Amino acid sequence: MKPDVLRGHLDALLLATLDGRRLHGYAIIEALQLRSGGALDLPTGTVYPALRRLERAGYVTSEWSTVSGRQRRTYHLTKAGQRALVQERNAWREFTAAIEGVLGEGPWPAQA
Amino acid sequence: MARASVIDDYVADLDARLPGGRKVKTDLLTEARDSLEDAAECYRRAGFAEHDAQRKAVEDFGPVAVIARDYQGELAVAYGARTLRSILFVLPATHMLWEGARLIWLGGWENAPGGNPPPQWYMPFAQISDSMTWAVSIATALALLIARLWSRRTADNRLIARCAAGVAMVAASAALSANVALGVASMFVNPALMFHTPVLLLASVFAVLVLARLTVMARKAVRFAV
Repeated sequence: MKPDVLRGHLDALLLATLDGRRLHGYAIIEALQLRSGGALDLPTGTVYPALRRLERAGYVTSEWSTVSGRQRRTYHLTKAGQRALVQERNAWREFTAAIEGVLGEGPWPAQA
Repeated sequence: MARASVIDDYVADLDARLPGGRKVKTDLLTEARDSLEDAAECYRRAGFAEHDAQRKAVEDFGPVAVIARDYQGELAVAYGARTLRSILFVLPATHMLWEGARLIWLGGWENAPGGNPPPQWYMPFAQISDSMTWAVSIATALALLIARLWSRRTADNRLIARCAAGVAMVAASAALSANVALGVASMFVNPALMFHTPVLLLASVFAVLVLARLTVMARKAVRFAV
């Protein structure tokens, strides 16, 4: 999938990946790739500035903690981040329903 | 020696391309190195030799010129926000310190040495200059709030950084100019005032130094953002 297309949805993808769990940066990248079947192949370096931006926006918080014996910065959603994720999911459902209505292969509705 | 060189070289190259605040930069680079080492470990487990594992990890991370642009945007925003926060907290504190020194060491303005009342233009000028502290503080608080909300709507960190740095530069320069102008005007109107109460002179010099430092920080914020 083209990185430019993904960039427009990166915030929502990161919020969804962090839904209900705390993950460090590389675990977020692995989860994105796993969940997308490998189709989401952004340069991994672009994820970290995006996470910091989400933190500045108040959608995620982070702290350094020991994971598997190593110090890592782990991220999790804030309440504002959870609300933003709900909005993103609703917007995505509306968008895909509208696009599916046009691009899908079903019959066109009869004209009035 | 090939073991560490690919990731080390990449992180060193990234480091060299990033002017910015030391603490945030170290934090970002530490996280980047962690990620690269995690990726290399995955490739090693998949059967790649050490050098190839590191090379593939670096390839996945992205071209250093592209990644540095994103990181620089984040560093610039962080420094701009830090400068705005410094202005927001330090400027009123400095102002109140000066006013406290005046109340303790001089008391009311009627106790000022010299005897002659100040010219008509002086008091409105002094009030405008004093009001600048609060106007600048409100402007910086608003800028911080807008930067936070704006971060929710745009992925363009450089744009946010430029705006934050611009506000910081204008705010710090305005506060410094107003302070220096009031100091010069006070010396002109009543030269005995400062020398009658050396603590006030010291407080005034301290305030100018603090404001000059904030202006230097704002100048750096602009440099990091462009």
